[in-house]
Amino acid sequence: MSKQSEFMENQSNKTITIYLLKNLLKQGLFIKGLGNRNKYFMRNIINYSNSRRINLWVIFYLVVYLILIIKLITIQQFDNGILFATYSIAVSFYILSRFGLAYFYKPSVPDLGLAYEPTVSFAVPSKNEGENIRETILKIADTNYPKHKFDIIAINDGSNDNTLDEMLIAKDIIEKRNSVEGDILVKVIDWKINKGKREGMAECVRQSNKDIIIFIDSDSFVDPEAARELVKYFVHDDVAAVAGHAYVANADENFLTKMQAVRYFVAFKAYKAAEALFGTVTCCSGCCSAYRRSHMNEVMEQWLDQKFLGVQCTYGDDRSLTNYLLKKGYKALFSNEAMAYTFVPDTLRKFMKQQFRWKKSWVRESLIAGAFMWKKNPIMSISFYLGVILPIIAPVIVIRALIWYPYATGNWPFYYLFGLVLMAIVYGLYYYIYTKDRKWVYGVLFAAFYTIILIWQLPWAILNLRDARWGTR
Amino acid sequence: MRVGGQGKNNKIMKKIIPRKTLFKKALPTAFILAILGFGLFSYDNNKDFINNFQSYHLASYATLFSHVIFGSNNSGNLTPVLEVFPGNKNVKNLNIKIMLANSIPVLVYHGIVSGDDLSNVSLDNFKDQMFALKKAGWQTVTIDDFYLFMKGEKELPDKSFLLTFDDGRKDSYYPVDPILQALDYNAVIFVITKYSLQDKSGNYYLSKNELKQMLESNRWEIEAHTREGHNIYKIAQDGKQGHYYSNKLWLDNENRLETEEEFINRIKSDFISAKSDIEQELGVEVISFAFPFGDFGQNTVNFLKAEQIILDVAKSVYPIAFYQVWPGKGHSFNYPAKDSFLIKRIEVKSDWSTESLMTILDAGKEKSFPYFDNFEKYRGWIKTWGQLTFSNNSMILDSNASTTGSSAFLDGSYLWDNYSYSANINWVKGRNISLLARYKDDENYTACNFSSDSVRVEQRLNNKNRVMVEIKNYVNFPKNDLNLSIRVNKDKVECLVNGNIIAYTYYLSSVLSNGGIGFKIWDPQMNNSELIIKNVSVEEIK
Repeated sequence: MSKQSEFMENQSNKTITIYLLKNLLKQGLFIKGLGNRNKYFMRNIINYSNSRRINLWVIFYLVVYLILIIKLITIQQFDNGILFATYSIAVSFYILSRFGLAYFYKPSVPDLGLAYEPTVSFAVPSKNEGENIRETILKIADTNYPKHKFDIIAINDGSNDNTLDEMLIAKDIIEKRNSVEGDILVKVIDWKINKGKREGMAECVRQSNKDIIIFIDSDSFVDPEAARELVKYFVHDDVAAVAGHAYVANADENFLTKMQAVRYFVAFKAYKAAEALFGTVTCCSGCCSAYRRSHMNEVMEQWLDQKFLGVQCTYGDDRSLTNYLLKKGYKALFSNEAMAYTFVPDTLRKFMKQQFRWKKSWVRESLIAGAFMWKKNPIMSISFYLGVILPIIAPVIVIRALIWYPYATGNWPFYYLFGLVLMAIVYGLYYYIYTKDRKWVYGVLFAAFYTIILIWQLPWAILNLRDARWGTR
Repeated sequence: MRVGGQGKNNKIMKKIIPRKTLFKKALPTAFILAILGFGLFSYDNNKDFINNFQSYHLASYATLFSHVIFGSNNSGNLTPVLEVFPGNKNVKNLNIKIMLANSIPVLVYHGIVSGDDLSNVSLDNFKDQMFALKKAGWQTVTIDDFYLFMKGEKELPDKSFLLTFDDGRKDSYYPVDPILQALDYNAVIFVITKYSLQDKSGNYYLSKNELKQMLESNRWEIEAHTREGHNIYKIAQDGKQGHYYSNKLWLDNENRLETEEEFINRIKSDFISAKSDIEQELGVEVISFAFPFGDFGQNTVNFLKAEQIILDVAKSVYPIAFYQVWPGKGHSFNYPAKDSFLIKRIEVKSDWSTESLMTILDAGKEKSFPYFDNFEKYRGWIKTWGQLTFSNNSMILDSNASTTGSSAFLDGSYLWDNYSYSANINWVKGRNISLLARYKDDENYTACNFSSDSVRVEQRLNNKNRVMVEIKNYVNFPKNDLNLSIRVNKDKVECLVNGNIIAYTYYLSSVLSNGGIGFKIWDPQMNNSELIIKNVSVEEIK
């Protein structure tokens, strides 16, 4: 629990109170003046808090059950057409299977894993991040790992602001703090001209002489335990990359960031875990992921030269790198315990730009991954191809369900909307069960937001694939 | 280029995700999937039930539930139900005296709703009625048994009745079925095939699926109500609308009414398709038809020959057909006959209490000799015309400003054959008083018609009246405390005044070999007839 300190600050007061009372009871420090009746009362509260999670799972499965019933009704309504019914089944199967597969993902490391301490480089390529970069680097320095076994490589990629100064200040602070235990080496590299994130990541690899490279986005704060949690899986030779669990640092800022907080959680906790069950995490994201340097070097050249439709690829670098490693037959895993907190776009404009960029790289890398995914575990490859096809045909389905169907039949698309809401509730509940955080409601709203706005980005992204501009930068 | 084969990768993954973990987690997963699967399966099996559930149905299920839990202690003195075959009317070897039915009533309901309206009975009333019927010993029969009974080929226990529902509505099934189950009753439902089997949209009529389910329960039988004929159609140029079956339709394209041939073809095709729809879609045999709105031509607006044609065509397709009986049609129960085709149904009105239904059934049941009635309680006198009232232990037939007379008959007296029927009356006003005997319906009976200047023996066959004998200038009528009688014995009819035979005939038609009793009063002037009947007695002539 203490690991999540920052994150758990958001939890409701009630939970904290119960937690404290529980501890008091355990330690026998409970106020003697309370009568039997009150003791029972307190015990009931505690039992309630224990059983609450089970109750929530019951609700979760009730909602799942309702979804299944709606699907059954959809299949049985002949006027719905084959495509619609198939899509409807496939999409629910896909989404619900994520939660199911994630449940099975409980990776283990051999006992020597605890003694296994490879050397680590934290790589922080950044541009115009003066606001956060100092904190980012300082948080890294707090990492609970033998000091002599890790260093920090920060690259200032042609920033126009005080990024370089902040980096140097951070370096200064760390060096002053250095103790007898060992020195943390902070390497600051300054590029006057912007070379792009991919080049920055590559440079970090070149500069490093360590076994493992952990990439940290310049706007992400890493948990002190993250390094150990990420690194332990590399004891298996075939593991080339491990993704950490990114939480949203500015979750409570506004409506948009609240929605993203839920989305991030489910995307990591369920979707990435489901992929990791087969060692095939399709994207070890840049905000907090570890890569084995030796394996990276094998694909470095191809990665740096990657061209798509004749244009140099300058976005979606993390996903591209993961793809090259997967293609080689290496494993990519996910570590639920390796936590990082990243800043997400807080304005709609920035958010849409980021999403648009991601969609473009998603299209590109999905096509590339599609060429080899069939060789992987059958469950994984079916999920993968479903995950590619479904969003592509989603706009057609939405038009059909929300525009054509009401127009042609005069009926409300009741079952479609109800199914949508229920699926959104499943997302929200999944978030709530693990976090006890009230923001789960925004997860439900996200589904509406996604259906109304985000799915339309994909066709647009496909049309703009050749446009190499960076979006947010 | 690739490092490590697939085999090696799998081995690595096995190490990362140990089998043990997978197995440990497979169990709860399988458990949850099984529950979800079972839930889906149960939903699918009870889909129609769930989708059509309305809160007022709960009362039905509560009834069934309490019946299952607490047993059928409220079902009273049941007539033992035994398979009875023709020929052994006196089953004595079982020490149980089985009364056999001479007549069977048919009840018709439409929807069973939460609160009653004009044509639909409320669930509370329906439930009450069914339980009262069960308690009084009434038991349902199947349509096949009923048909055989009507042909005289099968005998059924006394107090058998046929329960029917018209239109094939969902609210005839869902609230009703648990009650049938609790009481071990079964019912016949007449479906409109256009709505139930062809057009699948809408949520008002029972679907094919539901009908199949009903058949499987063995509590329901499905018969034909029509395919197209349950709507009203344009029957005149001015847009006037009327029933599909009893009128010639207006053909807009050709600006004319149907010809007789077109009319025949149309109704014939509907008769046939209503039957074949059910037979083909549900695979059950259809032997009967219920006329939409109970109209087999009697309510025609523009085609006087409709009734004869409809009945002829219907007979060519169905062995029996149902309609809602009205008083002029005579006795409300059905008696076996060789050529019985039209079956009378008692339409249970939404404002009937359970008591009134039971009274009507008691009154309609066949009566035995001797019969004496001083009108202390209702015994089944049904008015077919004019006004009928009961007061001060007497029955009064009179007329009002718009009528010239009245008539009434005694329900359940149909089987009477040779008897002497006499009445003590006060003839208040009016020119003619008739005592009706061998009364089958308003169109078939014999009568002694008394007037101030004559006594006549009359015979009415198919609504054609014939005076058999007329004795004129018989003027010896005391108007009060008058005793009038009619005696019928085989083909002989005698009319008596205060015990003296005034007129008689030996030539009554053999068609009127049995039938009940009634009264009729008439005067050429409006509002000028009144007859007070103090008592009535009927004795058998052996």
